[in-house]
Amino acid sequence: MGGSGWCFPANRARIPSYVNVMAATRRRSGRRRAAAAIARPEGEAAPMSRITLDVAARSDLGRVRSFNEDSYVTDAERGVVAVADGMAEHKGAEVASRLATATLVQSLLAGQNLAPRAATHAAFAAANRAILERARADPALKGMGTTLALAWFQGERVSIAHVGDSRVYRWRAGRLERLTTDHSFVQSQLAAGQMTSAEARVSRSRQLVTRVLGAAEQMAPDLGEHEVLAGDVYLLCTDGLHDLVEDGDIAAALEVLAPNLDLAASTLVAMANDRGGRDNISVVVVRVDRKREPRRAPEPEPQGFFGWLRTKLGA
Amino acid sequence: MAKLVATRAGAALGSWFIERDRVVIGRAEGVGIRLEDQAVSKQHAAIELVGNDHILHDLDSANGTFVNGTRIARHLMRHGDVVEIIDFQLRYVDHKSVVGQDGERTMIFHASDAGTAAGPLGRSPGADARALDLKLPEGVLRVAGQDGGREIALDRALVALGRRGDEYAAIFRRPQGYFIARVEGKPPRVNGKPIPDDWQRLAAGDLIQVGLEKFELALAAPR
Repeated sequence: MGGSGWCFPANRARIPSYVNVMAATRRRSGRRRAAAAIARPEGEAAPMSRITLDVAARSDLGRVRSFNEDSYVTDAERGVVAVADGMAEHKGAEVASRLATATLVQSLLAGQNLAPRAATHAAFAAANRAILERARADPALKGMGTTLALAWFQGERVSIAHVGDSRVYRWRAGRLERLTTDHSFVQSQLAAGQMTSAEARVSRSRQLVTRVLGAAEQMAPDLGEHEVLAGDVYLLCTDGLHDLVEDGDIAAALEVLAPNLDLAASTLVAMANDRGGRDNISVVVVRVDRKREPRRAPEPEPQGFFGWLRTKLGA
Repeated sequence: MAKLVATRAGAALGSWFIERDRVVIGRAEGVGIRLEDQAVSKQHAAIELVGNDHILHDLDSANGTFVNGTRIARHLMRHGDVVEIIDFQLRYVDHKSVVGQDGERTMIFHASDAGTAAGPLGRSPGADARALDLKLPEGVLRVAGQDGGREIALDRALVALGRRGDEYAAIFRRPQGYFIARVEGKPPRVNGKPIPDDWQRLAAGDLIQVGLEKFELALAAPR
């Protein structure tokens, strides 16, 4: 499974709950900077990417749960970042979320000759199939499922896809925008006018998701394509963050701490823990910068004194 | 299982578990929760299960349904709410709403359940409400030097100090107090010493220097 940017919150079960998992996971992905270059459909010229991506991520147990059932992946070289929040009837929540992130990236890489939309669809379908197959093979895992939110940067476009209540936000020009609509019971109640937003915030149905990977043979993600601008900051997160931390505070972290993504990620986690940390908290932050103009290839080093003299004389 | 504990003029009347998807409160015979008083409408109010929530509806009663002193048409019930109908008081008790050992679990809600008011797949309902009654410190930064006397309010989660691309720091307001960290550039100085990376807790009276700017942290007395 390839990329060095992989990070799964592995071995959480062995970490006592009072240990901050952050320390155990923080260096597994590290921060990565890479031009968001990705293979294009055959025959199509690769656009010169004028942007670079900076990525940081954290996954934290929170203050109540005993296991971390979230997973995330950051592969800045390929422009792929994703978070997943696993759930289970019995066990296997973390199995489902890991299978989802791993299969997603594998499938995106295998589908490089497809258009982004088709490749994304295929990758979510593959992740769904992988979870169902594993659950069939191991009855103890029956009923496991996971949310999955993906941002796939391709030059100056980003494909956003999600299932469940993990979210993608974008901070741009002083405004925080949500690029995903939760597949959740509360969201459907809100949309139908059956619930007010004040009620939604205190509803005990908040963690009921209506669409997940692993629940049915057919499972389509919501897809979106957006233009990427230098200065954008993207946040992918599980509900352990957005259920507790107000949008205004999320916006403040992305705005004020944008130059230091590691700090931004750990601060978002700290905000959720300060508010009770009732669920696992996973965040991936991505900052988009303009690529510095590449310098012209250096000329061969002039040799000897006369070479040095020529450079001085500008010859 | 949530229940309603009823009292009238301070005297206990008993309690009812809310076991069905819809429970009617009223004076008529055969309703789920019967309150025998002529001023109570025959079908006065109803509690319905929607997802994991109990929603209380007033059924166009003559004398109204009140929750925690406010007349309601519809109300999402929370642990500890007191429903008042005439002089009956019904306290809503839901012990599951207190976060258990394993906290909140995300659960799959099957679409086929949505039409009916049936419960979702899974077990424990989520904890009641956000624990957002955060006790946060109150303070300001007093600007020293030429700008002396000016104050920067520390009433937000994060306040930036210094300049981007140069010496740049942030102050983080948390329930435990105010914290400072370097965001980029050289680390800020607190009481003359450069701070280590990551959030460092500040105390009242601390002198902070970011670039050439100097500040003093002033805290309001805890209330």
